[in-house]
Amino acid sequence: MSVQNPVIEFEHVSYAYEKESVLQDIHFNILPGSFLGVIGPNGGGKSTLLKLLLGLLPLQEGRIKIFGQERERFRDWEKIGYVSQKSNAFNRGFPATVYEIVRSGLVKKTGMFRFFPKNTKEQVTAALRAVEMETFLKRNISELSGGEQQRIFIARAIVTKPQILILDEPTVGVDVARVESFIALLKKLNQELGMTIILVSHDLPSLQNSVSHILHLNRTIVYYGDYANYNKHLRRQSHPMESLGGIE
Amino acid sequence: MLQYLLEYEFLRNSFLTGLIIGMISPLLGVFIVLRRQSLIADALSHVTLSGIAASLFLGKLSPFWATLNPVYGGMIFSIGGALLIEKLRTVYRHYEELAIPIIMSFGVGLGVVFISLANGFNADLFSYLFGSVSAVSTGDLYLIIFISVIVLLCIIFLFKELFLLSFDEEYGKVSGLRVKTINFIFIIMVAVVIAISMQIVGVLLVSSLMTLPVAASIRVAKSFKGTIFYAIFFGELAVVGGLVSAYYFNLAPGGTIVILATLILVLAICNKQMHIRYNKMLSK
Repeated sequence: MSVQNPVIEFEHVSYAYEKESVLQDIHFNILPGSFLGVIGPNGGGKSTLLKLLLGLLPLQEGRIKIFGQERERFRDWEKIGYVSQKSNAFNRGFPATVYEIVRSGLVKKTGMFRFFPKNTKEQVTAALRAVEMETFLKRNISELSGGEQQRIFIARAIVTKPQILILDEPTVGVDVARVESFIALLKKLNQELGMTIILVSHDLPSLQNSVSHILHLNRTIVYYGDYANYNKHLRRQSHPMESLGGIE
Repeated sequence: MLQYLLEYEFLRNSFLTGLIIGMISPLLGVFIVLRRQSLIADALSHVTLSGIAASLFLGKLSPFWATLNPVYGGMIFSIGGALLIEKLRTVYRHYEELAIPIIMSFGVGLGVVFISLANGFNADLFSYLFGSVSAVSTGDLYLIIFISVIVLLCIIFLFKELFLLSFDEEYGKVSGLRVKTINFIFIIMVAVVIAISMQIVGVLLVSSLMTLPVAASIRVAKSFKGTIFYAIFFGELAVVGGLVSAYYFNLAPGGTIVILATLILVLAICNKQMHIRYNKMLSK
């Protein structure tokens, strides 16, 4: 039986904003093909964890490895797709078509001072097909609904065919019915394309039939493991409702 | 006018300069407006003014400085102002917009001091303030063509990066883009284009050529490329119309160009509202 190498490794990572500690001794691995839900209260360190992983914040303590490489030396960013929390609050009057937005995801693969490759349109169309939005190619991004825009941002993130897709609170401001179809889409990407997915969310119930693993953060790791065992873990807590109440 | 354009070199120079800045200013303006940095052009134009005033003052002190084109002084100050804005942004991370009024106030203050040292306003300074059809020499024109070609090449080769940073800077950082380098190149381009544009439009109105055609194009275009196309088209329309009117009615070209650009903007806003009403009527 072959042993799978982790795609992401956090080794005793701690981080503080000035004197306020946000993450303490975070240590865990993510295996390829996982669908990880990251939950926890506001200020629990979820966004800081992602920023550290993506290189948006400098490491203070500990190590992060991506595909076995130290984060500082990692350059293959096209292997990682990212949908930020800010995608919900982008400039809605921005005059760009869906094609132009999704194509911008290829910037990291193409390189500086170079033009987009000849098969760009095929790559963009394939990404839009994966999120069931291929008929929207020429539409203006500002004409779409919140749920449709989120699918476009996922298409931008997966246009480079990444092995890992990271999403930071992507369902904020999206109505319940659309959240369900959105999570179903992520499940499809995870199961059909084998993409490792890391989803930061405040909405635990919507994740329950999709995620394979849960990382519950509250400055330290409260729980990390199979989703199936997470409920047992909660039941073992003396005040499970209190703990759940903290999850946003 | 065509006959005079062929006959008089200064008119030809002004017209060609107008055509060039009518393209390059709105082109850069698209990125400035969409990055919500419209006021940066205003701040840098005021810094440019202090550079010109400094050059004119130095020209009074020594014959060496008097031979140098004040545009160079304006350009150096403009680049210095641009770099200071970038630096201040990192100092005030949570109040990035504060960098612009700080540099603008400093530019005006410095300009006023140099103007008073140069014994107040003279004809030269007035032409830089409000633009002039006779301000462009053949040497100036060559400098403007040289700078415009470099700016155009930079925009062509950095187009995809500039688009991404205008739409979503954080995504650009995550994509491994050299955001600081690209922002540095961009702000230097803005600084030099402002310095070369001021001879026609004037220091006080130069930012309008970077914002008004873009404001109109956003109302009309549906794509990013369309926005660029319309911004340049409206920019050229305002510059050519403004220069011709300024020539025939003996007006300051900067003012006529800006008034025409504003008229185009009003038409674009009315056109959009008529479209919305028409679509509503159809849906009923």
